[in-house]
Order: sequence, then structure tokens, then C-alpha cells
Amino acid sequence: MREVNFEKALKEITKILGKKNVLLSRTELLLNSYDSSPLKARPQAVLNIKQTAQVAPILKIAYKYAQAVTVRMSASNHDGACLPLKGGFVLNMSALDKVLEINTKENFALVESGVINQDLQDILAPLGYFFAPDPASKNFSTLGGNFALNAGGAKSLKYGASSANLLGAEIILCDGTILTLERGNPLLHLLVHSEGTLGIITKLKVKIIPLAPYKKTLTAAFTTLEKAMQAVQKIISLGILPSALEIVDENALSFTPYKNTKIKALLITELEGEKEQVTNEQKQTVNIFKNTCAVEIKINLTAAEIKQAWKTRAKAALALAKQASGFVSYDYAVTRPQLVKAVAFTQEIFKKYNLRGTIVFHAGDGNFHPNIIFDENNLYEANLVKTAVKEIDNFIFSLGGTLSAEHGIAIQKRAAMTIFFSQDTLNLFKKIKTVLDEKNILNPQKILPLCETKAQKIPFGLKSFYNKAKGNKQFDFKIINKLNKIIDFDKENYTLTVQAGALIEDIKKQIEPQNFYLPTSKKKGALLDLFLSGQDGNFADFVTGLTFVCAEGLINVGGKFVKNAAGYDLIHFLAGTLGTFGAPLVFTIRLLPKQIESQINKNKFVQNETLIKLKQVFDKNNIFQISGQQNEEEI
Amino acid sequence: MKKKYNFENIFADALKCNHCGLCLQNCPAYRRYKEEISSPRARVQIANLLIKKKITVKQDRQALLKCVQSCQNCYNCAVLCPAGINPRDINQRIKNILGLKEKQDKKPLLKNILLKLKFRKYFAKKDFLFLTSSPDFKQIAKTLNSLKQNNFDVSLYKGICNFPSVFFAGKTIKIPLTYKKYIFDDIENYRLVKNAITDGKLDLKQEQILYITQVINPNTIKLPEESLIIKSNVFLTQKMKEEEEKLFTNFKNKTLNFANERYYYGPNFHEKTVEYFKQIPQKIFITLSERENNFLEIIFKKHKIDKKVISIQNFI
Repeated sequence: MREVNFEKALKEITKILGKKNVLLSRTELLLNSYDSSPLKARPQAVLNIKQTAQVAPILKIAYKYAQAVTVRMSASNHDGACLPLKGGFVLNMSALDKVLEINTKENFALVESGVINQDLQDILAPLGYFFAPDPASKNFSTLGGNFALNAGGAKSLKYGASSANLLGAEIILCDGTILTLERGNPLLHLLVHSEGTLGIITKLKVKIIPLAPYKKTLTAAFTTLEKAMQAVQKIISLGILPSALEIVDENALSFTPYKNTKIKALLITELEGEKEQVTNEQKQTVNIFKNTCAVEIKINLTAAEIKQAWKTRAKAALALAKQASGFVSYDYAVTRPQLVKAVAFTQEIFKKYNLRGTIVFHAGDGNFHPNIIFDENNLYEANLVKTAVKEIDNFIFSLGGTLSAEHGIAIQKRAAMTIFFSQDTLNLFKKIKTVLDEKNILNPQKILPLCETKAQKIPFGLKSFYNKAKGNKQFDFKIINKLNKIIDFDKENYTLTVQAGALIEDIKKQIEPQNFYLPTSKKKGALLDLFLSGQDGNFADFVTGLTFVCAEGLINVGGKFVKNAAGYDLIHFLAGTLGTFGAPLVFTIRLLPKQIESQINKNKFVQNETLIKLKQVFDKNNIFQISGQQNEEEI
Repeated sequence: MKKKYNFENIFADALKCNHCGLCLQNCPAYRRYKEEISSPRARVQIANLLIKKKITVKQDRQALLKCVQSCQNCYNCAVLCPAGINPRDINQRIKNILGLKEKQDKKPLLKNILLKLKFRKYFAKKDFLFLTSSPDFKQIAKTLNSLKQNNFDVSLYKGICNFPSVFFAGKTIKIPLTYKKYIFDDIENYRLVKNAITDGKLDLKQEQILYITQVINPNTIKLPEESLIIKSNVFLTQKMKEEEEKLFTNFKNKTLNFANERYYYGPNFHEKTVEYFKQIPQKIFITLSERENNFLEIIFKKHKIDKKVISIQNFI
């Protein structure tokens, strides 16, 4: 029996879409109730969207009758992000597959959200351009899905994951309001990377990058995994930034000609840039390979061989598929130096629980995928996988890693959020969701754990800030100036953890003599101001971890890892809010091997209805005003 | 009379599917309809649903028909499946259970378009010209027949046809290698050739092939001066060519077949082809895809050809 409200909504929606595009038959619903994960959830109706303009009116109706709406396109995600947990409507937006504009003068492409990643790549390649995020599923996953889950891929080491390549978007909010956001608007990243829980993406403006004039792919074979990891470590610590750095492990190699040989790990390195620079880097890389006892080094690969190498990498995850119907893929990231530890532990767990699976790496950015297969109909085995994954979760947390680097949280990793995020942070996430989607209709019950979390400890040094943020007196940003210490300068990992009040000139004095550079060309002022002003358009892309205080308490997001897709993107949100939503206390920043020119952000912070709603969450006592230093600059 | 099937035996291989979605990427049916039900993944899942008794052949017949009939029998999915499943064969087995013979196709793609022609009253009947990019020339032929029966004077223009059915697994590709540049209006063909080049099966360079879509904006993008469009006909095997020929014999006089012509398009449209368009008596061009629609509009605007382009979407 369907609800009365659902029937009413359905009737109105049918008027907009026509009967042909509203699917209600049992078979159609069952065929829209799965994705790449073993999870299933059946919708009550499937709506075929043919034009972007149809989305807003449908959401208006769904909002009116409080019916759940979940977007589903290629359904290639690993964690159930597109499964309608509360039933309701599934929007099939894969027909929104038009590339609206490609502009090679200003380097952007305007696309609808259903465009398939590889289709865009194919259009760009002849023009001498490419689009950086290239998840292994690029041949069939859509850009809307890629961006909603902040997908990364092989090239994200050099060019960043989806979030760094996002320039703007058209997003429909839960009540049907259409928002057109440009980079610099704090809402952009928060809404786009929300896995469809805060808004639905209809159009995207993405960065396109000119193809490098010279490219070289090297492969090196090693007798142990540790040696391959060492090589990765050394390549990065020399300041070389390959466009891809990937390891294929023993298990996956058993599906290739390397089967039953001494070789236990294959490292694929892709160098890009000017010819001179690449040849130079190539020499250094080959030296590293030799020093780390590589068995077989290939330099002059033909196109076919390169493709074969990448195929090996791509096959690694899927080669398992022949053996069983249940397949789960996780996507942890830790710092590069800890990758060896994390992988060794995961392999141990595999042995301990007798699991079948492989581990695939984006070794360059510390991201690794334990892929596990099991028999879907064997409950014992399925539960075993759950127990094993929980142990891995706890270990990764103890290493300071992230739960999800590029797949998102959705359903499968929802419960583990309580391990990785503090109580205050999860409460803030929940309140953001409640405020922006008060009827809980957008992709309901995703990301946020249903169970309670443990109470959190506030670090001693930050307690006074915590109390001030919780109080009702105006927050004075000048007190942050005292927080000016470098907490951790991790040269191996190329990250810097620093307190927010530290001055840029002081930091530069310390790190630049050692050939590490901050990702900004600004020379003076406190880091806090640089971050909050949002003037440097790309600075937030390099902030990987952030601790800040707001009315909800002490919030901690991100960490020392390069890629992160867990939880809401509060780092980009806070950047450019001029301090009106909370005060940053500690940053973790990704360092670079050379100076870069920062892009100046022209968009100014403008209040709008959505931000006013959010302000009540972050700052209910209205104590965060535009920070003093910002004010002076404005004048 | 009721037949009892043991689905578990018939579809044993389908159980291995973990719905990863890899098969979606080159499926002509999925790329065209963009609905789960016309994808290889759905065909395999339908087999699974039959095994698990979540659907029945009798009650869900209509949906099953919709699913199995969209398959173009190209085997692309079978090549890609990491679990070694052959969705096309599973589809055939479902077809057999449904009692469909292989030759049977009940719904010509464009059947009844005529009856729905909104513009019918505004134009004389002989003004229509069909530009096809349908992957199924059998259906085109049928449609043309039905158009003819309704006393419409129809010409067929196959200059920009796409036949994804050339994607038969394992077949070699033959292209004349005498041109500087090769431009594709069809992504599947482009990819096929691109892969053939990287695999070393084709003696061309990557820079020689281009893929063009509606995105072309002459203001922001430069295109090479000399380019050749590859028509899918080039890829047809001899047998398919003969089959095609047979189907179109009735229309030979009125068909403007560009299959053997070498011509250029894009912003630097070849003069010869522009002239061709000018000579065509029909005033209205009906296109089957948005891509052709936009492309023709650009060309007509640029060369000031006084003809109209209407998308088929307006009629369906």
C-alpha cells in the first residue's frame, strides 16, 4: 500500500514528466535497487529526468509531500550512495549527458551532471586538454557521481581530487531552490561533495588542464612490497611529483604474465611536464629504483605496453570478480610513511580471517583499497568481513588515517564514522543536514551514523577557545595570534601541521631553506587571515586538515592525508567566510616542492538565505563577527 | 500449457554478477536510452531476479520484453565483464523463455512517428528528409516502408549514420589509411579506433584521429583544416553491407548515399558537401540526434543555407 502523500506527489510529478518517464513496475523498481556494493534498497518509483529544468519542480513537489528523493545514474559506487533507503523517488539523471561548453581560453568545461567522465576526456583530448579526476570507473561513472563523492583517481596526486577541480555548480536544494554557485562561495564544496544529502547537482563547471608537452611512463618490478613502497617514499621525498604513482600487488599480479615469478609488486610511475624536467626526473627515479633493488626496470615503453601496464592496474580490483558474487571495496588513506604499516596490518587481517581479496594502491597519495570478495548467500562469511573491516577501521584511525579517500561514506561506512569523528563534529554534521534538509528528503539516512558516539576529550591547550566559542561573549580573533607554533613538520609526507595564528613569513623562514614551499604566493600575514579571507582561490585545496571552534564545540576534520571524502567538506566551507562561522585553530597544509603562483579569488563573501540558516548552527549566540584583521583589509 | 523452467540451471552464470557496472560503458542500447532496464547489467539482474523468484515471466512480461529487445547483439558487454559473464547470451536465453524468435521485432523504432507528426499540416509531404543515425537499419527500413505506405514522399540521408553493430567482438577493422586526419562523430567508433591504434593493430598515430561533438564552438576552438569524417559504413563487414543494400533497394533512387564520398565537416565544412546540401530539394531536415541537429544548424547558419533543422524529439 502506498501512502496518500506519495500518491499525490506521484500524480503531480507524472504531469511534469509524462507517464512514459515514471516507472512503477515491479521489475523496473528492482532493477533500480542496487549499485556496485552488495547492498540493496527498493524505491517506490523511478523518474527518468530528461532535462535539467525538470529537477527543481520535482523537488518542489517532493518537498511539499515530504517524499524521499535519491539520485541514481551509472550506479557504480561501492558504498550504496544511490540506494533509496527510505524508498520514495529515484531520479535517473543519466540522460542529462550534454557537454554544454568547453572553453579553452579560460580553461573550463560546463557539463550536465550525467556526462560520463571518459566522454569528457575524449572530447578534450583532441583539443590538447584533459580533466584530472580519473577514477578507475571513469569509463562509465558520471561526473555528477564523481563530484558528489569527491572521487580521486590515479592523477590526483599531482592535480588533486574532484574538489580541487571544481569551479562552479548548479545545485537544487531540498525545496526546489536553484543555486548557481561559483568557486569562492563557501556553499559550493559543502553542497557538491555531500553525496546528494544536501542538494542535487544538475550542472558542473570543471577545470580542464592542458596536456603536458612531454610524458614518460616507467615501470619497475620488485621482489617485495616493502621495497616498492620505499621507492615511492624516496621519489616523493626528492620533490618529484609524478602525475601517477601506483602499485600493483602480488595477488593482482597473479592474473598477469608475472604470475608465479619472483616479482611481488609492480610500480607504475608516470612523469609529466617539460621535456627537460621529465628527463631529469626520470634519471633520478631510475636511480631510486636501482637503489631499492628493483628487479626489472622498463623505461622505453611503447603505447601498447603502457596501456597494458594500466590495464594490469585496472584489472587488479576486478580480477576477483570471477570468484564470488559479493564484492566490497574500501578506500582508506594514511600518510605515505605509514602506508607500509597499514598494508601489512590489512594483509594480516586477511590472513587472520581467511579472507579472499587484493589490495590496490594509489601509493603516491597514501590511498589503498582493500578489495574483499565473499559469498553473498553465506551469512557467516559476510559477517566475518564486517568484523575484519572493523578491526582495520580501528587500526587506520590509530594511524591518523581517513575512513574514505575517494569513495564516500554512504551506507557501508556509516557506522564507522563514530570511530573517525568526534562527537561535536558528528553533531555539527547532523545539524547541517537538519537545517539544509529539514524534512530529510534528500538521500536520507546516508553518511551520518545512527548510533551514539563516545564523549570527546578536549586537548588541554585548546580548552579556553572551546569555552569561549561555547559562551555568549563576542569572540575576539586576536587571542588566536598567540597560537603560532609549528606542531609537526613532516618532511617525508610533505605536510605541515601548524597553529592558525602563525605568520606566513615565519613559516617560510623555517621551511623554504629546506626546499619546502607553502601553496600560496602571499608573503605576509597570519595563516588564519589568508584562510578566512578566501582571497587565495586555491589555498583551501591544499589544507588537508582543520581544527576549529564554533558554537557546536571543537570540530576536527581531515588530517595529514592527501585525499579525503569522509563527511561534509567543512574546510572549503570555512575558507572565505571571514570568520563569521567559527575560528580555525590548527591547520594541516600540504607542502609543495616548488613555489606556485596563487590565483586571486574575485568572488566576495555574500550572505544568502542558506548561509543565514547555517549561521544559526555554527554560531547560534552570534558571537563570531568578521574578524578584526579582515575588517581593516576590507576598508 | 505451462512450461516449467529451472532458472537456477539456465542462468547459473548470472549468479556471479556483482553489479559493478563495467558493462555499461560501451553498450549502444544503454548509451542511447540511458535507462537501467536497457543495460547489460539489467539483463543479468533479470536472470537473477527470476532465479530468486522476485519476478515471474508471466506477470512481468512487459518489462522483460522492454529489457531484452533493446539489446543490439554487439557483445561489447561480454568482452568487458570481469566475472566472465556474457550478458548478450543471457539476454538470448531470456528471449527464448519469452518465446521470442530471433528475427522478431515488434516495435520499429520510429513506427507511428507519422501519426504523431505535429508539423504535418504545415508542410507539404514531400518536404521531409530523414537523417538517420539509428543503429538498427532493419528498423529504419521498416519505418521508411510505413512512411511510404502513408503516401509520404520520403528520402533517406545516411551520410551521418552510426552503426554500433560493427562492434562485433574480435573482428578486425579496415580503414583506408590515406588521410591526414580522421574525424569521428560517433564516440563508440572513435574509441574502437583509438584502442586499435594503442594495441598496434592499426598503422595510424593518435594525433590523426579526432572526435567531434556538439560542443564545437568556433570561437574557442581551432580545428585542423583538412579532416575526413569516418562513416560507420566503412566498418561494415561485407555480409552486413549486402544485407543493408538489400533492405534499401526500394529507396535507391531517392537515397542520397554519401557512403563512398569523401567529405569534410565541422566549422571548415567542405564546399562540395555544402553544395550537396544546397541541391537537396527538401526544405526541412529531421535529425535523430541532438548532435546532428546542432551540427547542421551551425553549418546552415555559417553557409547561409535556407533550410530548417528539426529534431525528432519534437515528434515523438
